[in-house]
Amino acid sequence: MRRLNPFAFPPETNQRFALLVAATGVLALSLAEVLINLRADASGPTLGELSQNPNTPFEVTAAAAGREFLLATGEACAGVLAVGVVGLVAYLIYRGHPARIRRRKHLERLDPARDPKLLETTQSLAQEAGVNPVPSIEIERGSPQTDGQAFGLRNQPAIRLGGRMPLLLRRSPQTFRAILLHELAHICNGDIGRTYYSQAISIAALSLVISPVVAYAAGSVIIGFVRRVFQFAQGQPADWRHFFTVSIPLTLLFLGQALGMLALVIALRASVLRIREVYADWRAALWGAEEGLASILQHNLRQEKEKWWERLLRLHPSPQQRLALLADPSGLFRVALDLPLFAGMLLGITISGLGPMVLRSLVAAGAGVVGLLAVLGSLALSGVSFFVRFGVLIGALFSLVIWIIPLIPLLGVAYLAAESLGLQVEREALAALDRGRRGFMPYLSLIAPAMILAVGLQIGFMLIPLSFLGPVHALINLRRVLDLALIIIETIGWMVAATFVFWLWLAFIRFFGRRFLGFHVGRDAPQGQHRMLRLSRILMMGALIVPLVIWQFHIYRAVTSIPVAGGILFSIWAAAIFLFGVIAVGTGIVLTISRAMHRRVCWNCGSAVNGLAVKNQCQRCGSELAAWLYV
Amino acid sequence: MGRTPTDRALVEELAHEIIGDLAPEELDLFDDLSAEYFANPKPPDMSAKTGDDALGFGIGDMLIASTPAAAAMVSVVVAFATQVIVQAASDEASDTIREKVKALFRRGKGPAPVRLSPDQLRQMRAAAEAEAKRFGLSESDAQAMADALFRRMVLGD
Repeated sequence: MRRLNPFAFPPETNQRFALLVAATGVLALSLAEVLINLRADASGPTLGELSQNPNTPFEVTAAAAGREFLLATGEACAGVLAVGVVGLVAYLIYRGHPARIRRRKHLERLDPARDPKLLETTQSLAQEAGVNPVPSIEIERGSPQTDGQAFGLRNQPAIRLGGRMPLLLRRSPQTFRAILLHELAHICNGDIGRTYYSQAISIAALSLVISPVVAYAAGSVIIGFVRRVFQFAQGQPADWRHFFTVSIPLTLLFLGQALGMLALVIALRASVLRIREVYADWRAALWGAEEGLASILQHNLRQEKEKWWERLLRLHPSPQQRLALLADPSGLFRVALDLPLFAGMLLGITISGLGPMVLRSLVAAGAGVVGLLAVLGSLALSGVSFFVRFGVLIGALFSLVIWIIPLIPLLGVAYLAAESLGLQVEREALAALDRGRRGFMPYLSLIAPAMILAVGLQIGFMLIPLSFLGPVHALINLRRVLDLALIIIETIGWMVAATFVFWLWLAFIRFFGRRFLGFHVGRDAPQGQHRMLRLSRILMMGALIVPLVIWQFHIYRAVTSIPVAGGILFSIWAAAIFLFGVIAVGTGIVLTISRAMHRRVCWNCGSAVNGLAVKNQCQRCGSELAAWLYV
Repeated sequence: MGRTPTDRALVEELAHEIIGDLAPEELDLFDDLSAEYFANPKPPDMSAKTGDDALGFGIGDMLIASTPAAAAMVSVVVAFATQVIVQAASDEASDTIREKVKALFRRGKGPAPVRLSPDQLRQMRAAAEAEAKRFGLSESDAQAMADALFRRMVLGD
């Protein structure tokens, strides 16, 4: 039976996992942001104030520029430091996971003299699967379980076997083989690092970012309450109105944001791990364990007595889902609606969290450049000492580096978001071709993921504390109901526009996926075309994100200090749509020329091929033309 | 009376023979499984399920090994027989009692050291079967295991 090959494309969960890591780093940045906002304002005139006066001496400007540069750099460094601390803690937790599993499960490394048959079988299965280095086998002595679990570090993989696995090997070798091959598939699919690192980063985010936000929110409201009680007891006036209308709502908002982040981290991790299980099942099935896996899953299906909420939190899909995907992997080629939600939320969190850092870097860079100009001016007048001039000159050069650093994560985030969703739409397009689905309806069905991506992005903007792009905490300062109504109406308008442009983006991916990948003949997946399409969708996503982000400033203009005029927003939109069109047309031209230059022949018999490759066979030898898409 | 090395050796010897008859695939794991039983002679927790460990996969319920069940069953029967022999000859030394218990399960190698009443045999068998079931064996497997032991004790097979 011909079935779609789940490994024809790299799994989109790789990007989703990377987005989780990026979002956790940004959550750390947001914590640094909260701390920075607690500090007292710097004294002295700012560069902006000095620029109002054209008679300000160069040395005063240089000193102010230096001060502003150092302050902005320090704040940016605090953010980098926070990210570094969370990353380091996550790394240490990750490094410690093998020791923790060994301790918790009382593992014993398999003694070759004690069970040579088990050792021989595991080694031969690892060699059969091409897993190198061969993982060490560790037994959970005394446990009555018949299960396996892959763990370990890079180049030191290990597999835990339940205490009854040696017995299973004797009683049911096929079942033993299926379990072991499934674990070897996890190693082969690169799941160990991703799984345990995502676990580590969830723990680090929870303990170092989410818990402090909750503690800060709860602590400040308790302190405020106690202070007012003391004031009341001493007969002093206590501002209860502020407490109930500002302190309590803000605390509830922070708690809601913290719970939302926690739910996101847990749900995302579980969803990524669930899909990886299906890919491991499939890898093991391709190694010949399909029958064994199916019999285990059918057995587990009969035993399953879980409540619905237990299933939501599980790190494994239900046996029923696994059996269905093992029989027909086309489910792995569908765009599930949780994917755009997660991608949108993580993208929103990351952009919103990186925003202040980008601005600070720009301020630092600007201050550095002003300092440089001031030094150049002072050189002529010789009013500033050599060391000050030299220091500011170095600072100005350094500022250019700082300006570049924040652009790297922004580009990275656009790449990850574009790849996590874009790749899946591409897979869906080819699966639809295989099913013979044509017409406009499949394009219309992309409205749902586009809308959910827009909603996720907006939620992501609002989810981090003291958010830069969704400053819901600042709404407390609104004095007019009309302003709030305007924010709500404009946010709805934003959603509609975002849904439309994301739909355009998804439709482009679908159309070009069918148009070019659907024609690829061969046994290996199309690499060059795929790279070209990937680059296009990342650039397009980058182009569309910019006006959506700028629009956020416009929506919240009543409560933020970054006003964006409607005319500027319109110009940015026009530029983005133009850029989108240029990239789409350019991609089409390049790929069409590339296809015209290559003669399409059957990979088996070499005869010329016309038309679509997916679902079609060579008229001469009968080989599947798009053999790369099938197993 | 606490378990002595002689008791353990007797239990292991009888359990090994029973496993050889009923579950020969377990023979090359017998030492490990029996050591596991003597280290923790409690029945397995039948309600325990495979946890939701990241990257874990296996059969949802546990796999019942026959060796611990056989060892547990033989232990119960040996203890019962010892009690009967002690009651019948309270003035005898404990070494003599142990020899008689061993001889009871070695009918082919000599005469029966003590005559057990049908009622005592029924009680021993019921206790043996119950113990095997406590260690997770099914009704039919527990019966087959008890049959194997009593065949050896009564008929000397």
